[in-house]
Amino acid sequence: MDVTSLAIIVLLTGIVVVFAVLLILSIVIKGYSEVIHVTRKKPLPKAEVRPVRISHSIKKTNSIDNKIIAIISAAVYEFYNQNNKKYKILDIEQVINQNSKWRSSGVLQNTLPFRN
Amino acid sequence: MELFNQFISSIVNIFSSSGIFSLPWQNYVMIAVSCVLIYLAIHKKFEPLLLLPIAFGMLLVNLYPQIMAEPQSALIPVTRYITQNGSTGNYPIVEILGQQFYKIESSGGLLYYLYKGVKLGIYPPLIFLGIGAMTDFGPLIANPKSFLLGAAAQLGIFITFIGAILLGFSPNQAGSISIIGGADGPTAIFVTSKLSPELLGPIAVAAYSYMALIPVIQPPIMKVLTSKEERSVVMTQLRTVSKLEKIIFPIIVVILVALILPDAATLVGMLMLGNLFRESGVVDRISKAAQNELLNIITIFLGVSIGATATGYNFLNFKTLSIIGLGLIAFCFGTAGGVLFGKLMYKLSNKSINPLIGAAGVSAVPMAARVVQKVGQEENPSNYLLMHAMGPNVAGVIGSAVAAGVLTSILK
Repeated sequence: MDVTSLAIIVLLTGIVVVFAVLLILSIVIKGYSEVIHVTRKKPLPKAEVRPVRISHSIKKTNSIDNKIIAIISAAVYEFYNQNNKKYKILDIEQVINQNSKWRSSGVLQNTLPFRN
Repeated sequence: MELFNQFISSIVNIFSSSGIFSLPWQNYVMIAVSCVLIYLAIHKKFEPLLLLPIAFGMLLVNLYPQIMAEPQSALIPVTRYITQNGSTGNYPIVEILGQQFYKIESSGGLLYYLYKGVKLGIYPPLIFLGIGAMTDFGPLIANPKSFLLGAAAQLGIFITFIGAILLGFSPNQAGSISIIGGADGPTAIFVTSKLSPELLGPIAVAAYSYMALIPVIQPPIMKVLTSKEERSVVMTQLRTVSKLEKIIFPIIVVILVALILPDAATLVGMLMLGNLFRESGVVDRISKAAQNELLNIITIFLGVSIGATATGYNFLNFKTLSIIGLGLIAFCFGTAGGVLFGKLMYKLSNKSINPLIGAAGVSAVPMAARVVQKVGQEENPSNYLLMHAMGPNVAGVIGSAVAAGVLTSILK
């Protein structure tokens, strides 16, 4: 077989086989996930229909960086999602509170290397 | 006076047999190249875990070629030995056609023996064992469609194969070069050790250098192939994956892949073994050993012995430049293939899939997924694509191992 024919055969065989194998894997994995949830008499957890969105009614936009808003939103979502409830963040407001537990926790963590 | 002359003669002999006078000029060029690679690994942090040992192995072999020497065995007639040395030797005697010979054996260099792990295809599967123990396949199980994105990103491998053939490489060499497009170092080394071991040095250096350059190579391709609207798509949150699903996953994958494509069984099997260690939860000690001690030791041995194949003679030629160029083409086409398939899925899913995640189908875990996250956030700062991109990213590891199985099956 000449090299050009071999090259085309490798290209076609490779793409077809790789796609076929991974397609079979995706079907089988989807299938057994459904079976597991049916046998456990629990429906397959649906993906959330509405993604978390950040409301545009943020009061102090000048003082809050978008990255910080994103981080806070992710932390809140991750924390409250443990109960399998869905939450929608409507507003983020910066509040100066000297007694805030979040603030205390952050100060403690950041100063740990310098204490004792 | 005679003592002084002998002293001078002894000093001259030592210097004339030193590397300064015996090394060819190509070795000095490779010493410089290895120093550049060491700089890139340490200062620029280009995949340092492998590039640093590779670069140092390259430095060692070009300073002292005997470090990769094969063991030698010489037969010297006993009578000649006694005449030359004035006494008998302490070597085994072999009799051939009535004449006695001393069998004098010298051991090979250190890296010759370490290289056996590469040549026999031992190190890459063991690295996959460690990678499997570190990988969470949850995002892939939650969204099995990601498998198709992992498959599409392997397009670069097969297109580069054609390019390598057109440039005059043999089919086996073309297969080894094209697997660079899988963006998977152990897979590239595994395939190359089987199909064309003489290209191990340049292919390993090219593969790991490009993997480090993914944050530079991928974003322009991703932006050219997608629109702002497509890049801004926010995907629905992935479902929770149960422990039972994660335990069954490696078993199912290895059974299916090994039955359909036996040549991929070694790599995929070790990957899934490592993952089963992790997910079973009952072998924590060996899971940790696979992820840490084993992976680190094998990484050192693999890197140093791969680097030691990059001698001046093997490296400084037009072929190496071609390999570096073809490696870049493989990466670019792999990224493009994943993104284009992502666009297809975007259209078929009624715009609910962000095409950017297709770029993560190249199996550079987790760098490619991080690049997707970064490019997605440039359009929409509240868009979290990282976990969605991890699905195609880990699917790409399986996809590149399957592609490697296809190449070794057809070409060996």
